[in-house]
Amino acid sequence: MSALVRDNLSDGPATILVVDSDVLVRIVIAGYLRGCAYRVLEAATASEAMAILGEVEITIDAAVIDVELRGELNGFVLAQWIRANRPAIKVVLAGTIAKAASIATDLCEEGPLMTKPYDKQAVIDRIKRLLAAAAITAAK
Amino acid sequence: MDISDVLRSVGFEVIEASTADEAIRILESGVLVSIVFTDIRMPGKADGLDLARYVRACHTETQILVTSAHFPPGRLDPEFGPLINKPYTHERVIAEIEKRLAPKAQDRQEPSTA
Repeated sequence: MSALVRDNLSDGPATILVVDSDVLVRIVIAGYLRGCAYRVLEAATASEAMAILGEVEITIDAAVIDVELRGELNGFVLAQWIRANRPAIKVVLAGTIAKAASIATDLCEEGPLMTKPYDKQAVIDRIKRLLAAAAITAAK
Repeated sequence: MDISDVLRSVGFEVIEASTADEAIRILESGVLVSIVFTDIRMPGKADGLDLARYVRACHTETQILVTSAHFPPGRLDPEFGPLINKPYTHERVIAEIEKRLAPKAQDRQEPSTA
């Protein structure tokens, strides 16, 4: 698989934040993304993700977020927080359809873009499309 | 770079865990782990010492390396020592890992997992 670099031609590979409370799922998707030459950061909860996002020296390009996160805040809430506070970060939500629909109804949020279990190539394709779109927008 | 990225950059395969419970879940999944590098203070019910005791009891092939900013070095079980005090240098961590894995590396040629 070819190396994926940050599409806006700035330095280094794109950085992806993977947020999933199931460590065995998280390490698989994180490992796959690293194998595709992304830099990957991991968080088990929305709180951990927010702490990472609060680090000013870390630039994150996209976040892959499970809808069903352990803790007080679920994945939709984290996605809303990112869109409100870090709008440059592209968000890929993942979850089972039934659970996502239930949470989305409660929060009036759009449904997940990816369904679990992850289709790894679909995750990569989605991230590439989002980063490419962001690069085009930034170039205008 | 954080320590995980540094270890990857020098050739280790690194699996990250946020808590002792996550680390135990990874170890129980059957993944072969050569060494566990753990902080003592961690969120959750179990701390790094609990994790170290679990590894010592249930995964005797897995080495342990413990770090802390607060724990008195002299109180650490010598079996887990020496304690790596925080803040640590990346070079110190790499050196300690290589020291623990050195005898294993002579025995087998497979890549190490930190």
